[in-house]
Amino acid sequence: MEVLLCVSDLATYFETEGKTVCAVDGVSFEIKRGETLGLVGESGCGKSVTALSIIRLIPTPPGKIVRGSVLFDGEDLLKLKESAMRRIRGNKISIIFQEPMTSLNPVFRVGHQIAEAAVLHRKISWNEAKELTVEMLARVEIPAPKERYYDYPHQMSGGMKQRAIIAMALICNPSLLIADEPTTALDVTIGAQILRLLRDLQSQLKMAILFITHDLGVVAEMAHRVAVMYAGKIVETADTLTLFERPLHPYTRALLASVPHLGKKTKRLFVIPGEVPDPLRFPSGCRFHPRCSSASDICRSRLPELRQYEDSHYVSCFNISSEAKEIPR
Amino acid sequence: MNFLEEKDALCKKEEPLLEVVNLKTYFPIKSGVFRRTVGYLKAVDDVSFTIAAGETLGLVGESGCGKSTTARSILRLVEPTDGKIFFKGTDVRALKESQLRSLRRHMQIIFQDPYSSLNPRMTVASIVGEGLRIHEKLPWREIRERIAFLLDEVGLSPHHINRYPHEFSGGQRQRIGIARALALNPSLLICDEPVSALDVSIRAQIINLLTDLKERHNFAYLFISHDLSVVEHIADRVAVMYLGKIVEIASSTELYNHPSHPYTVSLLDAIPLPDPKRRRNVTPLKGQVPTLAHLPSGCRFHPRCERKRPICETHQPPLTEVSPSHSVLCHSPIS
Amino acid sequence: MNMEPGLQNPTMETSQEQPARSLWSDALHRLKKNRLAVFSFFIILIYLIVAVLCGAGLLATNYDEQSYKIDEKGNISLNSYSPPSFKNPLGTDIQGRDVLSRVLQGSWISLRVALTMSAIYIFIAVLLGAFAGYFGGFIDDIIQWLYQTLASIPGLLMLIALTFVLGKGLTNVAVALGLVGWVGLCRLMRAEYLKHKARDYVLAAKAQGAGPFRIMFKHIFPNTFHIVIISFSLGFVHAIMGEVVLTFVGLGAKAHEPSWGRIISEARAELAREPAVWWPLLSATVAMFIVCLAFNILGDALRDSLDPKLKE
Repeated sequence: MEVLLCVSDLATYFETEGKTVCAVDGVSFEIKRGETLGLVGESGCGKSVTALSIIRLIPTPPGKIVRGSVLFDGEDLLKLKESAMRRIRGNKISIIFQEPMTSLNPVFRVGHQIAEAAVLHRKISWNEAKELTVEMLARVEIPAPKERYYDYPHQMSGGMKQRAIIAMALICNPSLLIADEPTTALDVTIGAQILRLLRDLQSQLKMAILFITHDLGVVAEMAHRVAVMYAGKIVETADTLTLFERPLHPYTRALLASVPHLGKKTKRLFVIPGEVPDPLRFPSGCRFHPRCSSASDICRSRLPELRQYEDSHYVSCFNISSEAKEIPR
Repeated sequence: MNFLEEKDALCKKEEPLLEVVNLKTYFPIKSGVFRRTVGYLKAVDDVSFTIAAGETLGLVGESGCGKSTTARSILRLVEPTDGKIFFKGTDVRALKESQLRSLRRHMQIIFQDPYSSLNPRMTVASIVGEGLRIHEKLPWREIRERIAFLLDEVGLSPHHINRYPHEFSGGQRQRIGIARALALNPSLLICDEPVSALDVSIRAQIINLLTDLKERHNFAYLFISHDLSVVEHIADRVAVMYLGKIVEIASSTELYNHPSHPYTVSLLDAIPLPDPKRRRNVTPLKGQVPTLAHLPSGCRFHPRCERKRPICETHQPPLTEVSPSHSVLCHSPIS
Repeated sequence: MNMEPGLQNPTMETSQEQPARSLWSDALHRLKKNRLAVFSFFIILIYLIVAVLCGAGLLATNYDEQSYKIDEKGNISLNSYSPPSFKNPLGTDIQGRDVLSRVLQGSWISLRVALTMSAIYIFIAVLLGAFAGYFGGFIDDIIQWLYQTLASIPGLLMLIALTFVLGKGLTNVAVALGLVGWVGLCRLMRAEYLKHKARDYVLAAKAQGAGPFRIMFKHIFPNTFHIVIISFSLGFVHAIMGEVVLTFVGLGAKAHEPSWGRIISEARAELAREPAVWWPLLSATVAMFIVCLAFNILGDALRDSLDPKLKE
């Protein structure tokens, strides 16, 4: 398959009160056409900043993309003019956010907000846009789409709003959808509906998805490939099955072991000691070493590179050979 | 205080630690200039359960189902509308304000949000020591020693005693909240989504801490969560709530292996499993969660239920026992 | 993968090195970075020192002494309206009294008025605001009714009416200002208490067995205290201006008292003279202007640095 998005060595820093926060620090990955890449990590690991950097929505200042390139369809988005970037945003690349409550403007009708994106990018009339919107609302399985077109956001429930937002993101038929924790704010049963909807839409519309989440379960369900982020860096990427079956990086392994599995009751959960590091003070060397059971001297002093192990399985760790035997469960 | 200790002695072995009978907590909906009550939000509607000493009851449900209100009603942090709450045989609802305050040391609560649950202007010492200062007339030095001991017990360093909450991470703050709850040596700990706001890697630390503390002190937990996999890990028995009612209550193994209520089944199916091989292909539950202000008639779950029969639309189902210690609120439970 | 988890893993390396810092010291740290605010603070400090020294009788003691001059014919007369000179840097007034001394003494009067007023209005506002916000319901209705009524009467009219009831004079002016000035802070306090009483930490305190007064004043009050400080700082301006206005309409300082309001109100006639006597008016106005400006700047800076949006 053809590569749609290629991010290489992307770094985004924030300056606050004279201190530098290296939110994203040298991140590289690819997404092929029609593929879902899951980007997993805990809060503050830089996964959302990565997404915002790709579509250049980092608030500047304090944020700044300091290096790297984002090749989308062969074009470096970081070198584009702002006006050219605006033509891509919401058109070829769309983004949906975690909070369905705040992503819609409360004073405009939902349908109008969706249609506006189509009018803006596709140069069609409002009437055509309205037809398209109703079609799109039906596609995201909103019942009675013609009537819902005239709803205001507060008249919709959380799940409905998230559907409307998905409709808005997909109305220009983007080739890449960035979904930033789209189900985190929703209830379990509603979240399951949204995940299913996204999967169905992807197979219909053949778009690629960059799916950002902290929930390993959601990744296992949605992604073809997974990238695990920790402290501003990607520590491991592999296809989903490989990552869950044979994780190599100690952080991935520990993370998988520390989640309670439904139907696999254990007496104690495995615990990663310590705290998620403060982005103001990342540890030297490998950023996971203070919490890693197999850290050695080299981990404390040098930053490991992302190296290939198997076919499309990349890990940044010095101790793979000794660790790569078996996965504890 | 004395009335409780007397009760303690009288308290028979088989009597449960906490018994909730037909608990109802309604919030009036007021409208108009004169703020007339035009209806009620039935946040908790006829809920009954028991918790034995040293037992963990998991209370599961989606947002707005009334699980937090149930917890707060038990402590009378919100006033219940009707029903009975017995704690060690004492009728909690009949207590006067002053008696209630001394009872609360035996029932403590841990909150979900580690940020809003700690007073930002108070030091760790005064947060953790507040209960001791209210209930025990001890010199400050002794209280400080107790605080240091408590901090150690929850995995914090006693050096942190004079720090302020904003200097700690979410996980550490949750530990402070746990230390505060432990300070008075309660027999029932109500955990209101204690790990939902935490990072994945910190969540396991706190869950293990709660497990260890329970083993050491033999607390009973009322563990509230929306996450069925966390509840399965920690609970002995589980109650599932939907729109103010407990729809199913059973022992943990029974509930997870033989769920009887269609809602429980859908809830279990909806959890994404961290295992790509077990990628499920069930149809997710359709429809939205109705709001408490507009409750459906009959069984509250019927608009979303696949097994709906005509009776479900008109009559509320009774609580039926499908097996000993497994009850379900459904006209046609899954067997 | 056999790490020792759970209880025995203190996870503290992150915040070990820094000393404990309260939100107050954080705010002070931020405040220090604002140069203008620090400058204003020093101006206020000088104002306070001058005021206290005057009050203690150590500075500008000659404010009530009349001075005389002898003309060429040897007649002795009051040295009235002598323009600024080396002897009287800000000139003299109608009775030949030194304007500089009188302006300095005016600072002591304004300080007294401001402190009296603040003590009264802060007490009322905090108490009523806390009760209204925390208890809600019936108590809230009564308190809201009270301040809405008060707020619907024009402030100046209310002040004048109150001063007539209490009697003229500086102390009564200060009391009147206090009795009228609590509405704004009370509204803010009520809103803060409403906000905070829904926080989990208040529930936690209740669950620990704390009674309503302990929760209101030990737990919630420190979280609203920054509002009191800001209000106090900006309230000074109201007190100083209030004294000037009320004295101007003839209700405040008596004739011999060297308040800024008195000096300014006397200037009405003085400006009409030929040549105009401008120095008493200018001196008092500039003094008032500088102090009020300093308090306003400091008040705004305090608002920024005490921002209740708590650190993550």
